[in-house]
Amino acid sequence: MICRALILTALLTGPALADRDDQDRAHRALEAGEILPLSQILAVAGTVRPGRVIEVELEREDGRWVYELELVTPEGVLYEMEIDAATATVLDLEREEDD
Amino acid sequence: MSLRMRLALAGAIAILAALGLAAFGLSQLFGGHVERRAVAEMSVQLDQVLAGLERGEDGLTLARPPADPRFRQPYGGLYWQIEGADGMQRSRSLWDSALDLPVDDLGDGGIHVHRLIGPQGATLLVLERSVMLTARLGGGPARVAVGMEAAELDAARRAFIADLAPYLGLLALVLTGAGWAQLWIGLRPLQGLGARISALRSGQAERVGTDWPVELRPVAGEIDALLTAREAETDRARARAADLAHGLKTPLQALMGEAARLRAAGADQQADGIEDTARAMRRIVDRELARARTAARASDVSADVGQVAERLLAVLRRTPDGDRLDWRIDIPQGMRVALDPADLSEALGALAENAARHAISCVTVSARAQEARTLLSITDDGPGIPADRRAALIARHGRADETGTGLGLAIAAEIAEAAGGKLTLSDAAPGLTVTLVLP
Repeated sequence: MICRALILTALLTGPALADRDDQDRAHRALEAGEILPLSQILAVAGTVRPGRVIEVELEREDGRWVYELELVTPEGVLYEMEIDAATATVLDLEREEDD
Repeated sequence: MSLRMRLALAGAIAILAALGLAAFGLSQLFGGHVERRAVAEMSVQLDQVLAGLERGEDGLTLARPPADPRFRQPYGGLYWQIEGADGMQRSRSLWDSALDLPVDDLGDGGIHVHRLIGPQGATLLVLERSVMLTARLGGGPARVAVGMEAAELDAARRAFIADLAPYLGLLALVLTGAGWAQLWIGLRPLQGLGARISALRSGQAERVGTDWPVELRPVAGEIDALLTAREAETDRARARAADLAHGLKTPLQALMGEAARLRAAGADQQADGIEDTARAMRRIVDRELARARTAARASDVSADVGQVAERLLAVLRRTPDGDRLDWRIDIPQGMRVALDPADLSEALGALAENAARHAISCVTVSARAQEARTLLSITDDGPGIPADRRAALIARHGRADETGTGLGLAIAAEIAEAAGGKLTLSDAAPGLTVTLVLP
């Protein structure tokens, strides 16, 4: 629910600005050594739940960087996955229809 | 390795090489085409990026980014990047990475194409252009780049090759089949040549002939020339052997005469020795002559019996023996035997001379066909030969007889046997009938 609220907030405050910030935040955090490259995150996601990643967002949650991924499996099931951007550990994995 | 195999193998290698080259060339052409299309598409997007540039409060921004969603998906495969005096703007798809544009000093405003390593180590096809910004955009130089993952181009090329492969395989099959057909048609005359040469060996053909393709005619001609040369050589050798044997006949006869004179002088022992030796030599000479006749005999040789007999009697009638005798000829018109005319003449002559020596008044020469054979008989009305001596004469081939009769019989028997026939003696009551049985 917190995640939903954040997205809603981002949408309301202006998507263009949020989008523009999105990749710049990621770039700066990577250069600062605060997060791992997205390629590593995607590799971890691929081993946990193979599928096609259709959306990637980087959020700041409780003082740490979290990657929110949306992916669709070969069977056609949508998943939402949260991965710690600094350690590449999976924090949360749930089917989209469950919530 | 057979000629056919050799040609087929060379053909197959050539076909494979040509098709491999074609596959490589076509995929290069297709790859070039795909890349040109991609560059054309990206140059449109590059223009779009340029047109969307705005100056915001914190520097140069892209107010209207290109519409393709891949620009927005992190690591989406399509990227743009702007490097100005006051920093760098990137597409969202670049995410936490940036295009590492090479140092490009040309600055000529032209579009440059690079291949760079992009996100996730993928190879990117990058279009880059240096521009001078207008004053409204802050002025100064800026570099604008659009990138696309080359993997898509390579995938397109691979798909093209995969589509092409079945057709190339079919083409290879058709070409190989056509090659085989070509070989089969082209090499058929060689099989014919082989058959003709084996026909030469078995005697069914005399010469290779000239009804061959131009390329084989020299070979056929050489073989025929060789055959002709060998035949001429064989004929010469045969003639030399026959000449030698003929040449020895007269000296041997003289030797026998000398032996007779020795015997008349009372030297019986020496005469016997000389006669034995001379007779032995005579046998060798006779055999050699018979062999020469056999060798000279070709399958199509034949003699007209009537003509030979007439010619012979014409000669014999002029001899003292022949002059006093009544010669009768009973030979069907046009009767032929498979014998060299000279051989027939020699055999008949020897027998007729014998008959003339022993006949009292009459000699008959007759011929008749009996089944597949021809019987040539010479009958005299002389004293004849008793049955037991006839058998002995035949058994000893007539040679042991010291009179001329034996020699004449021997020559005739030799000729008849060489031709696959035989000589028989029978009682003519009175007189003797000698019959040549010829196949």
